[in-house]
Amino acid sequence: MQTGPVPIKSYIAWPLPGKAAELQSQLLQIPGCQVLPAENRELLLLITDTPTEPAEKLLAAQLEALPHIQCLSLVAGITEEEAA
Amino acid sequence: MNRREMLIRMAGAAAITAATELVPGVSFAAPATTDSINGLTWKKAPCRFCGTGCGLLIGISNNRAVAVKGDPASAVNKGLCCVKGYHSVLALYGADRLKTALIRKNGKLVPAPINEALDLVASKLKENIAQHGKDSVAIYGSGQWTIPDGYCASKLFKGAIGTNNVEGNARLCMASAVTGFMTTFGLDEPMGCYEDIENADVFILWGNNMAEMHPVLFSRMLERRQQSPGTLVVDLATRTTRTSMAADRSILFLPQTDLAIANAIAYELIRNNWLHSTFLQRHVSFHAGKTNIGYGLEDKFAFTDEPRTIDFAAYKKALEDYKPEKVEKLSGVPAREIRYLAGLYGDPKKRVVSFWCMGMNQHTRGTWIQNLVYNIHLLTGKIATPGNSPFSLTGQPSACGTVREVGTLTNRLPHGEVTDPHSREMAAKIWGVPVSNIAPKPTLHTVEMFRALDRGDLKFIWIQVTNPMVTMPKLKRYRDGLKKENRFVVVSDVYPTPTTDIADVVLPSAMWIEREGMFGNSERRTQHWEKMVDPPGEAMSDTWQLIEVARRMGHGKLFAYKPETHIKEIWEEYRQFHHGPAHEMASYDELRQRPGIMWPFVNGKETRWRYNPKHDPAAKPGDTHHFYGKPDQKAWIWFRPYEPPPEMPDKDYPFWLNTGRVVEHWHTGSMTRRIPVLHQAMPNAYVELHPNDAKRFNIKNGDSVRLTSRRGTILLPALIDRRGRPPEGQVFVPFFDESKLINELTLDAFCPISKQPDYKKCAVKVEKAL
Repeated sequence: MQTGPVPIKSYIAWPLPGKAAELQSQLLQIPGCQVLPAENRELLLLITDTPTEPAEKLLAAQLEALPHIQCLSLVAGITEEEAA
Repeated sequence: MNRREMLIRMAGAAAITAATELVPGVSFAAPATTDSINGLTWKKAPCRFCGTGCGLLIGISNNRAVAVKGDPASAVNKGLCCVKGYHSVLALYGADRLKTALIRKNGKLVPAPINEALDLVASKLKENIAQHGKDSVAIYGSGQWTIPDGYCASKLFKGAIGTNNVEGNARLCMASAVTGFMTTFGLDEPMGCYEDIENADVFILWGNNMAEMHPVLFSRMLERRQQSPGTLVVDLATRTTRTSMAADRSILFLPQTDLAIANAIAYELIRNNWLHSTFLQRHVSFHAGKTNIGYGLEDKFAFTDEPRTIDFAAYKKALEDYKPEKVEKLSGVPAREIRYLAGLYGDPKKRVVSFWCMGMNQHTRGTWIQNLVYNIHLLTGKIATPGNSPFSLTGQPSACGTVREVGTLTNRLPHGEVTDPHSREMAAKIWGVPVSNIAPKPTLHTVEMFRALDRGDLKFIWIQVTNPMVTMPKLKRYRDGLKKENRFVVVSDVYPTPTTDIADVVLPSAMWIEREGMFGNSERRTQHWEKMVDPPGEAMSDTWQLIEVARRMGHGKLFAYKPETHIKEIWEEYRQFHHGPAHEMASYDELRQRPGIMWPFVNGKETRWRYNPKHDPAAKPGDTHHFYGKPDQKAWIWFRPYEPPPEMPDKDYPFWLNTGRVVEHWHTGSMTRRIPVLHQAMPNAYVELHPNDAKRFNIKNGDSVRLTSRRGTILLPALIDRRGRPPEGQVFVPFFDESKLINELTLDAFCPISKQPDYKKCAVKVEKAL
């Protein structure tokens, strides 16, 4: 996997009521997104990994355009440099 | 797994932790990547940080720790971790890790070969002992010492050198818990275990912000509430925290008045006859001790309690002073809330766990408040059965295992007190030293040890795995003391700290999984881990540093352990101290195989509830309980009054100051501040104010605030309603930030029985800094 300067980020994604499955499906179609759904709640964890700033901006725009997100809370952002 | 993948896992872990705290009971399937990572070797270890003792699995690749996951086989955390645990391996790899020894030459610390540094440490020890006597030298360790570290320190200083100048920083965090157990039960450490959580109906948290300090146990408790509707969590505290927000009821009391509240609950239990009469008749005796016992503010303060037996009628009469309406005026807690608490404890159908940690321990009447909470459980018979448990939580990963069980306190030996001839004889026999080597009197507890350095009574101190130049109260006196001429300070650590800054010799330590070791957690569980990666440079385990110095001092026969097997040899030697059904420890081989074992461990069986004959091999069968720690074979109910703290807000210093931790950082932050995600999440200390106080001073979030006590002054950014909320007239400051040393302001008053300082109460004034 290619390393890059953009932080790997993790978010808590709160779907609109009843829309968790749709939101998960949409997120998984966006390059650089991994999704971890809660087993017992309508809640998703989103982990993003983009190689460049332009890719990161594109991702942000795609996330903003998703119709089933109620709230997206940033939890962590880690760069290789910081973790070294 | 490459480094990028590891970071993805860590970011995911941080999100899981945050979600778990935000949404009680939420669960996630293991990430698909977790078990599909090729090329990693997974090995078990207890977490490096708090006293919960979570089991971790560490992923190793090419002599480097690259991944962490919770150990699903661990009975403690069942696969869950908190944010510190998930990031724990990053603490190994900070850029400024100490890799070589440092020796102060011409006023500056300069790198030196470790053998030269160890030679110097040994020669300085010998020189000071020859010139000033054996009590001129001391060692100050930690509840983060591994069990073999603490054992070797005790054996070297108490057995070989012959001084009781051995202390651990657990004196600052757990000493009141110890004296609470000893005065009530005659034996240290909890009778219950974490399984109490899954059996309780009510949780009363006494000054215990579990959501931030013990997040995994907090999650377990909230999971219990979700699984068992009707389960109640009551937060009884001096400040509104994340714990309060998740609790079913939040009750705020004024600092120090927990003593009066506990007595008022006992008063109500008796008034309503919510007592377990049979239990009281068979298993309890009543006692009282000295009152107006002082605060230890003066050097060489001495106190000895004088217990006397009283009867139930005398105890009941003494409680007449604690009617709820009267206590309401003192504590600020409405009488109806006190009756509500008494009703929960007194309901025979409800199983009740009381949890506490530093709120009750760091208290000038720390021993007393422990006694008073035990009283409530003893009056109702709610003790030592599943779900009925007064439970003192531990702050550090081996405060129990190393400081309390090994006995790295001035008054203790690995078995018993130094004042007890039988305990000295046992130590002399196992250590192979003349019994006359072991001094029969305690010498210096921690505060007095640093006072002795300031006075010049003590000339040499070796500090391992702790950072007292951040953590000592009334810090300036003790920092100035250590910097005086003719003091020799040795510090073993993994990173530069304010304590290494003032050292004459710095020894680089191997950290956690860079060496083999054992920790003992809050529920009497001993956990072993093996060495998984090499330490950097010349870094060496604290155990082996002690062995090397002992050999250089001529004590080689006592420390003839082999490098490849020394931890096994030390463990098997140490566990001889605990032979018998009351404290039998598992063998080294058993500890290696299992993710932790609770003592007493007899015939292959752990003991989950002590003093309960159904579970405890040391308890006599034939009754529901057997409290075998005291000579009268009973648990002791103590009458202990409310007494005020030594310093309270007044005209000049009108605010209470409370100090503590935050979820992101471990203690003084020397490890967690080097983990980028944790450092970024909480980069600096702050002062929390009530919004009304902030408005009164025209202080907004982020404004610089000057706090001043009679001992010092400090500037901090304001934080209003972002994390916790103190009541009006109170402020809170965390202590993790070495650039903002809140202990410049705190007071070195301590509990006269436990000698543990009170970091939760002193008086300050608040000003907006211009």
